[in-house]
Amino acid sequence: MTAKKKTPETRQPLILALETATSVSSVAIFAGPELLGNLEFFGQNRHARLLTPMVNTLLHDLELQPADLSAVAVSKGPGSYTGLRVGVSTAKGLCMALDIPLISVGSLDALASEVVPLATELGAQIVPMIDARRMEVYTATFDAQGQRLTEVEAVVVEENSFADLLESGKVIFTGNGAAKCREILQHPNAIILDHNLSTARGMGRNAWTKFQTSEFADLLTFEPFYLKEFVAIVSKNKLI
Amino acid sequence: MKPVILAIESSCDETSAAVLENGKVLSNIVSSQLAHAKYGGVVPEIASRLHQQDIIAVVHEALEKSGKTRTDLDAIAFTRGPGLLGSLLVGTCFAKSYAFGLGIPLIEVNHMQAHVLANFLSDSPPAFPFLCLTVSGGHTQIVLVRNYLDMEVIGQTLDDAAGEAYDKAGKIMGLPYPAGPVIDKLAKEGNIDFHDFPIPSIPGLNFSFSGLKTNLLYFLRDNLALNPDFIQQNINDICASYQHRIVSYLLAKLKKAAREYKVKDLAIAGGVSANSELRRQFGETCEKLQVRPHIPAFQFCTDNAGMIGIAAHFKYLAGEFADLEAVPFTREG
Repeated sequence: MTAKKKTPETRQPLILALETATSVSSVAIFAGPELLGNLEFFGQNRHARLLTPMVNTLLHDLELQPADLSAVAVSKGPGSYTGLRVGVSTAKGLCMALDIPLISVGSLDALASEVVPLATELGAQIVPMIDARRMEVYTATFDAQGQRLTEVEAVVVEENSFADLLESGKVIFTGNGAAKCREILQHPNAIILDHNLSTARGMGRNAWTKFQTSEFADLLTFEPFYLKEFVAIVSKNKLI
Repeated sequence: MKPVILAIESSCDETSAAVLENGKVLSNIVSSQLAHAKYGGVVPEIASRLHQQDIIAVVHEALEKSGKTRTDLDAIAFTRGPGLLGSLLVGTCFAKSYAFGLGIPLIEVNHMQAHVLANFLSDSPPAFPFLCLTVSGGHTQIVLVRNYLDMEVIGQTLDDAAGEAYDKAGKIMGLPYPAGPVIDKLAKEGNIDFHDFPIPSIPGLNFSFSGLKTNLLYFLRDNLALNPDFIQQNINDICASYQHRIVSYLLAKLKKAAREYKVKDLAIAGGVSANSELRRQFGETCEKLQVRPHIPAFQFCTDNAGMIGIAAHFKYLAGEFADLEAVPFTREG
């Protein structure tokens, strides 16, 4: 008789999550809704180098094989175009190799999801923000349970950008975009958690919900959510 | 050992996948991005987005056409560089996780070496050592090939690539992008002696092409001042004499190199090797030198994964594998 290990049959489906929408390279593995383990690298431009090795390390440390995975969840954005493409390309390769479904999770949904316990306690709305360079952020408003209430948009942050929202009650601002709003969010109702960054840990809840309802992304056609159409300028200069 | 290799190429504006078995191409799928034409050149962000859109369909089709399934694969190969970073990232990241998921080795391939090795996809490949003139939109090189994986660049352009000389001329004359095939076609009906473009004087085996387009620009400007319809009326002759100068200059250098290195085999490779005038003059040059000419089949001249696969095949046999931390490089050096 060999010692019986916990077999995949007795365990909840394993979902691998990849988050590369910001400068953080991050992977997590969930058994159903429960986090089994996660790895995060806080640095610049290391997604392409680190993402697959991090998946390898995390699986190894959890004594799992790639074939044990039931689905791959990937951050669809918005966020860094290059970062998102690294995440999506990596996710697609894994899904195709393992013949498992792809799940897409919005980067703002994942950020909001992480502060749901606090928001529920405070009865606060959640405004996750991802830095989109200059004074712009990708953002949307979520209720205390993490349900999105508004369209995802790119907002140029100004003096009174969130004045109405802040008048209506407590608001949790989270994510790397919240840091640059500190100045203008000087309001008693504003709770700024700009140290909360986008990581794969926050993707579990959404990924599990989508897994249970088989809300899978089409591997063939899935693209990151760039938010903005890329517009290149056709040169009108005549050379002669 | 008869390895089955899936190869992926995404260095510029072609998304391509190929399956090879024991160095023979079973399938070679190329998806060319047409969206760049209206910009007169490749727009990197658009190229990256399109690679992302196309990669699964292209890999899927390559597997299907090859008659193999993913469990038959022995290794995954990808273009590591040189090329556009955003484009390379898509193929690289996909290849890494695909190989990892399948639990098989990963092979990184240098795009320029692959162009040279495309000559081994023929039934009568060149014998070592040989020289290869690699000409494309981004590169112009003379390469001394001692063995499959032992190559040395002995001459290269100091400014524009030969393909760039075509594209820039096309832009000046208002021709569609990419201009190479268009100029090649128009030149067929033209007079090569129409205008005597200067021969760039660069010592040794190196090239320069930037002066050529400047000469064309001034030549057209001067003539347009006298006759506003000068380009339209003489388009065939302009193209013929411009193309003639590029091609004869390329081959003069190759001839010089062949004499210096005393090789018995000469090859051409890269997108511009699809050019009819280059093929014609290359044949003449080889005949004069009494050396064997080698030109890859058309589908293996322009960017394609078949050539990545043959390069990977030789690396597989040599046991040269990449690790999961591999990242693209944009330039040699």
